[in-house]
Amino acid sequence: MGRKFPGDCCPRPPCVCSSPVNNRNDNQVKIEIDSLNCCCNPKCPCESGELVRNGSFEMISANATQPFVDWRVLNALSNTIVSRVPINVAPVAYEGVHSAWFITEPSELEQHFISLQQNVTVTPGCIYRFSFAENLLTASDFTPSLTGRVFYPDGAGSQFDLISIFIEKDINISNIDRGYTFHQKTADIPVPCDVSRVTVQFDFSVRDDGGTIWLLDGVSLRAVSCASSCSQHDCAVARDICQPGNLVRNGGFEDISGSVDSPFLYWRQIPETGGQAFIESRSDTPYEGAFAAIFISSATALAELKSVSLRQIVPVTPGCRLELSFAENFLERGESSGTTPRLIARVYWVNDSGTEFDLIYVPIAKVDGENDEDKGYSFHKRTADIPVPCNVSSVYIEFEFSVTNTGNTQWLLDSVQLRSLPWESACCQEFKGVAKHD
Amino acid sequence: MIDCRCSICSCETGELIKNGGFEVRSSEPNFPFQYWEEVFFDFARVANEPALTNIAYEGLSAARFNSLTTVAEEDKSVTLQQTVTVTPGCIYKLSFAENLLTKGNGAAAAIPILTARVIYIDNFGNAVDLIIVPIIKLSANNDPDRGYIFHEATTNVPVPCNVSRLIVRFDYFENSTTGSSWLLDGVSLRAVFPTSPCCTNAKGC
Repeated sequence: MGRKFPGDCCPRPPCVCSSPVNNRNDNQVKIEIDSLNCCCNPKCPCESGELVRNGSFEMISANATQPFVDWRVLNALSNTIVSRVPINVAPVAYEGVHSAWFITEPSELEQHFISLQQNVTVTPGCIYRFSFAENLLTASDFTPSLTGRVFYPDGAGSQFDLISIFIEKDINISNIDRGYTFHQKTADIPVPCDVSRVTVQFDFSVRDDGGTIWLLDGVSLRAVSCASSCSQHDCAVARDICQPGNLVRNGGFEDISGSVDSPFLYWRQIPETGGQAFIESRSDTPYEGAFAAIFISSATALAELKSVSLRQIVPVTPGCRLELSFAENFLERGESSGTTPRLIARVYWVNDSGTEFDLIYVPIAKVDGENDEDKGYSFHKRTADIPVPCNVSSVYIEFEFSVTNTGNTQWLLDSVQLRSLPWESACCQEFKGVAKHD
Repeated sequence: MIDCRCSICSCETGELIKNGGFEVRSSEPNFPFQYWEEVFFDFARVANEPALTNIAYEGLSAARFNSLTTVAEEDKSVTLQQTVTVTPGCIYKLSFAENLLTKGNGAAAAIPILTARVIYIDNFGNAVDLIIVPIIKLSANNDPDRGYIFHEATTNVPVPCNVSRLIVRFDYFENSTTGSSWLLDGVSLRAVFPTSPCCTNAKGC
């Protein structure tokens, strides 16, 4: 008797590996398929489209109290505004023509604060990805912050953050007017089954005398999972899906309580000591949060190869497809570096004989002498073309920095994320092996 | 454990763009980079010389849109495109990084525009946009030479069930005398979800 498929699923052939396989002789493999193990193919109950309306701020509001269609300003102190581009100023947009301008105005009150928010209808049980681009155009004397959040009100009336991206920029020339920087994070957990509405909110704050301008554009919220974990009608939707939570621990380098071999918890510096390059924490130029990692080459009398790596071992689920993302900022080339600065991001596994197999490989080279130094952070994202092999349960994530020079090269790294795509594993957990008959 | 993927109804799991990092140049006419075709050029070209393309987002090379300098203000445009085979019914995500290196000028400041598109050609020969990302650089003070900026866009609807080829296209345009230079790198197109709804009624699904 076959399985009865509920209305929101279409039947799919069962995985051949979901039942025992008998090898009756050396040349023939008999495969038996148990139709009761047949899984169903959900019709993607999670949304496939964009959920944030007017995320590019192209549409101005007809309501004089609100600057943009579908967005609401709240918690504003009287000296802080969100507006379209001011009159007689050229627009500076990430995409399209317009963006949201957070502006502080001179006043007796130093504290400035304002929030911009939008409520979004979501599907319970789905996992969402939040992204936006920001550009701190001008700043005065103090440290402004911009926090992007996706939250829902819990039963006690508090706001529970599904995603939070905190950006704080010191008054440092490397943080100001460096163009747009892209940010993206995926929720580690799905929207609870009793929640169908979340709020996307940006909180802007600074203590200054006026003159800070921070631009926001390209706001997006999309489902990354096809299937909801709050399935109805007994549809086996999210049961065997790889979980997209961040697998990297301390990927933002916020915990600097590492041991002697690394300034960061969970990360290991290689070589630990004695090299002409090393890794430190840096608090004045983070991408997100309060700290970033910085690769530094020591100054030497003669040009020589200097290299250092930062590595973390990460448990993974066999058969899942991995996606690596990070942000890097080539801060200082260093004297006599020529075309040699390199930062290579790798995700690889190692077999029993010590051979390394790359799943993801992202080489970054700074060859040009003038136009690629101190330009702010660039976001990178790369998905593995092949899944984690079925016999592999951990991978290495490694950033290899190298340069040949006499000078002091500096390269920042922050917000390292390694996630599984929320697809089915390519490996069958229930495989019971091959019965061998002599 | 063994590999047990079910191939029926599956969207692609790998990268669909070939040479999206522009690491391999081409000597074929109108193909500045392998698999990338330069079309509709008018007072603008796609440069592939190493000396001009070595400011890279990843790897060692990028594509560079260059306007030619003209005495009078002229419309200048060029398109770089690649045709990709896809699975009907799948949803795709385009990503790339761009870097406006220099901004041109004219009587009024030039306004360079780079528009990323993913299109298909319908039965009547019309180009239908699945993704369109317009990038417009209006500020001479705050836009040029700010490094690479990452962009990502996803189709809101799946590829129609009778379509199996998409064109990934970057249209460059400006009106200027002295022209702009714009770098493009890290172009990627991947399926977002693992299965296609177009196979619902197909045999075996």
